[in-house]
Amino acid sequence: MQFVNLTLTGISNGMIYAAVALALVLIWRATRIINFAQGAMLMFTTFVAKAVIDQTGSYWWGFVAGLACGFAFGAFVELVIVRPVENKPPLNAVIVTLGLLILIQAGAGMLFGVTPESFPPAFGIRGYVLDGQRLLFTSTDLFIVLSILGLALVLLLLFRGTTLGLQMRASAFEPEVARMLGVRVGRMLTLGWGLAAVAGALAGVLIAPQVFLGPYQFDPFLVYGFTAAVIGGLDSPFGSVVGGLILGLTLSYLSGYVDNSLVGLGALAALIVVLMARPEGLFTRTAARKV
Amino acid sequence: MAEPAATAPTEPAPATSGLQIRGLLATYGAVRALDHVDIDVPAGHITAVLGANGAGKTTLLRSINGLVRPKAGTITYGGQQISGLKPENVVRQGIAHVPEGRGVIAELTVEENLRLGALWRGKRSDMNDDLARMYDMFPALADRRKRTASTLSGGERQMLVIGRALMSRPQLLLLDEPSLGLAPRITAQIMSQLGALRDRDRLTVLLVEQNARSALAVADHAVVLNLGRVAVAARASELEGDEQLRHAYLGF
Repeated sequence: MQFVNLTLTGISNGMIYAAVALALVLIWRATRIINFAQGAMLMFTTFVAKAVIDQTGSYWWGFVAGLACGFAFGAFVELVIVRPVENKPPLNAVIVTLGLLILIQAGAGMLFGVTPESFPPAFGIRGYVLDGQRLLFTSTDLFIVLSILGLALVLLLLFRGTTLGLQMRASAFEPEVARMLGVRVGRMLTLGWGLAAVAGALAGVLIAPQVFLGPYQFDPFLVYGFTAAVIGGLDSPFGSVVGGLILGLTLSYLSGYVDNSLVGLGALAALIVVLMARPEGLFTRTAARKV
Repeated sequence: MAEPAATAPTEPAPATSGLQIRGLLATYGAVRALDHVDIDVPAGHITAVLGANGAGKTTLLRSINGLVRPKAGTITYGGQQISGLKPENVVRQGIAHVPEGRGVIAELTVEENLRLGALWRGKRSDMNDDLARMYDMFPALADRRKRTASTLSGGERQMLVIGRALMSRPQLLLLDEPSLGLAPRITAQIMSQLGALRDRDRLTVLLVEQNARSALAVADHAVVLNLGRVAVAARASELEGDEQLRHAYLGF
């Protein structure tokens, strides 16, 4: 029974890591930038979601507002803040996104206060019952898994099945060639940042009931999301989902069977093991990329 | 014996059609890659731009398609000024660029590469016709349509970038060294395809080549660039027949 519980918890946490990883991977793939501000951006959009929930009294209005705000935020950041440092030395982008992280956290502290507050879950928090025993897996957890899988599926269909997705992939792989073929690469990058931030915003709204809502509450999720993304190969959206699940399960078993305080170390260990076995991550074909 | 009219162009087309380049200056730092270059590319003809490495050939193409911003000079196409347009808008004027063979998007499939060429036109109805036309012209691509472009040979990649450019139904095709790294037989095949496109579709072609012999075999006009300046501009047949010029600039 403990195994079942740990597995289910691992899956639901893993999907959260996967969503954050997806947000990082979509941006890395398109612009070769690690968005260190992603954790702060999803914190901010979750605050927006909370404000809308408080105003309207409806969880779902807040949920939609959080995701919409995520899209707008991501697109805005690309257009206004990141555009000037694209195609510049990578360090410029690192500094800009780190600066943005600090700016958003300070701004959120001033606007919303630094004391963590509660955030409502999507559904009930009573676990399902199996064989007369109550599981540590709730309908809210099920919603976490399904909604993130749903987002991943929508992104997959967009990238693989539509001409818009084809143009986005072309812009990510070969921006110069894509421009010569008439693709408006700038717009594709803005759209990509927007979609990535939606994935982040979704993770924020889903995890907030567990970790509470505050300017610094989501910091660990950037680290876990990044770890999951690196495990998956940084370049592969599919890899980030698998990386998220691997990390979620590892950490869940570790906390259940060994010691809860080892979780942070466990993430590091998982990262090291994967990088030693496959330095390019699990789902990247490095050979395909030219210098 | 009467020569077939279509394959023996005589006079350059009127100045308002085709591509005119006047006083084009492009620099990389202190280096003048193009030093006040004048070139005419008459409509419906193939114009070859020849010259050694570093003569400014690729810079010329990148100035036309908007990837390089010239310091001075004008580029007009069909009577309209196109210098200063962004690359994504140059293609919308009916000018398609064939980058050298490595310009395939290796991560995408052959068919995705081809479809990309036609997307800006937004006409889904034409897409399948155009795809069929390309597979007809380059049967090797048809067999590999679902494979990623990274699996193609050098010759197939060259066919793919040409086919992808043609998917946009251009009036002017810019080609950057299509013979680079290809076997002579494949080069000859590609050159004769260009000749057929000119004769059948009245396609205007600006062909940048180091391989002067193959280019002159199909071109109507030839321009020799030397260190960023136009050294010779002549009918292709004249250049081919002039042993002195050939020795001086083309090395054969």
